[in-house]
Amino acid sequence: MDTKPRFLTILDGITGVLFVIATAMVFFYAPEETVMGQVQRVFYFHVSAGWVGMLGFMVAAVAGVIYLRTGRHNWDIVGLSAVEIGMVFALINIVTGSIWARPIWNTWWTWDPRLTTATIMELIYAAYLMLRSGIEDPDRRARFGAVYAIIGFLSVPLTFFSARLFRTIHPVVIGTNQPGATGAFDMTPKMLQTFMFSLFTFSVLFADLLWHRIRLGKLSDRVEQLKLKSMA
Amino acid sequence: MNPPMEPSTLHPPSSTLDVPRSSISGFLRALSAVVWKDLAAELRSRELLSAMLVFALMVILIFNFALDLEPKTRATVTSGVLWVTFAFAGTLGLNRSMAMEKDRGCLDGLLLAPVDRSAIYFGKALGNLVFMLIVEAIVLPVYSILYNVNLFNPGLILVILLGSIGYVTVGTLLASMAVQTRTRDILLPILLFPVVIPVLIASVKGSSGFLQGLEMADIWPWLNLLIVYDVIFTAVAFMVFDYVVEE
Amino acid sequence: MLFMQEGPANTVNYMIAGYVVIFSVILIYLVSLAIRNRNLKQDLEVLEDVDQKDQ
Repeated sequence: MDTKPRFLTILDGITGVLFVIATAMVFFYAPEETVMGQVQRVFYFHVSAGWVGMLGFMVAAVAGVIYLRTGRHNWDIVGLSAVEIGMVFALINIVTGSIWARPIWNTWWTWDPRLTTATIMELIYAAYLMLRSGIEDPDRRARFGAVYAIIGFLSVPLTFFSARLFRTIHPVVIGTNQPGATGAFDMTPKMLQTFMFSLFTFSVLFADLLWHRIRLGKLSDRVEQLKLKSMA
Repeated sequence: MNPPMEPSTLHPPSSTLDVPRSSISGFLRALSAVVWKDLAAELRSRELLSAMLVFALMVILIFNFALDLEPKTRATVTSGVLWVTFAFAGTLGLNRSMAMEKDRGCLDGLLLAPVDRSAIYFGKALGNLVFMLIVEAIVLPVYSILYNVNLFNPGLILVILLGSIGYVTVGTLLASMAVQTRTRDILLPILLFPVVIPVLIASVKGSSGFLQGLEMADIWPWLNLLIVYDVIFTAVAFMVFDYVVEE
Repeated sequence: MLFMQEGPANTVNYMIAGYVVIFSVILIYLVSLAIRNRNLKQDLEVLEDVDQKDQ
């Protein structure tokens, strides 16, 4: 466990290459959008980051279920790692969403269902971390974390539906002169390819980061164990 | 609590007993025992209800100064004010209910009983629901009088019931966890509010739908959402409560 | 505000801002992983040393 597995190094390399290609596609391959201009290019990584945010949540919830059923501590590390990474990318999603909104709708924020849900998801992530930090006993911390990850994850689709239902009744985005504005645009084939490739790249990036973070978690556990041992 | 020297087993303890799993009647008996315990204790001391009630009325009073509750704007704002009030008073109730349990060591006693853990959960949740409904039942007429709004609307009562069930279902579970942490009271709202947002949105929109006399077709989606939420989270709480009260 | 004009709106600045955010946040997280890793490895060395001496 101490030496870095060779496959991880390979994965690092693959991730790096994919990321460079994705970035190049975003800037040079995808065409400029006819109405919004260059800011539309933010879309590719904005949605991909949002996807990783959701992915993190999903992995944490599944890891939570497995932990509760098996009691194997490694699954707790997986859950925590997934939450941490998901939180980072959900943040990227929210901030880039705001940056995209500004020139399009002349507002820094829109209560769009997706952005609203992403923000609430981020809050649940933060609550998860706060819950864990308030518990000393590692077993209880893992159990409670697992339970909250499951509950949090299940609430997200419901939050999304309620926010969307809310919006269909109030479609006007505050601060815009276009009622029902959704920021939609038609994707040309090149845009679609760039988009799909970005999604794929970010998914691989998630897996890579997750693996690293899990190793970090195991290392941290080992240090904690030795600390307890030396104090006993 | 001594730090555990070995990893504890994670099978729900009741399954390690060789006693055959209690029947439905056993479950119901345990459940009602928990509910009556809470109600009886509350009847004697009334500390929970009075705290929740005073708090709720204070919140409504503050809203009078914070928002413009003139007749014209009232219709649209009433359901929001009501639900914010219920949400905060509800948190108070949940916190106090679980804290009293822990402080008096009642939880340990209950856990020793050879009873399905979920009976304890449902008992607590039902008790919390009763308290929340009592507070709501008092707040509604008070609000009606203070702001001259007719709140005796069967649809509204239905929404309040469904919404409270959802709130208390998740709230009891999360409060059980929060009370076992260092940060206790402060943690419950942080854990609860983001997760209970679908209930709040649906309850507010459903309430205002009934108050404004909208068509059932418009209100139905919100009721639907509440029912779905209630069902999903009751099921989840049932499956997961064992892991929350293990010692 | 978008108004009818020749060609697309000039929103390059916002694009740059967006990508600065994306790259810097990812970078900061990578750095945080690296730093935590290094600190833990150092702690591990010290603790394993102490452990050896105890035995």
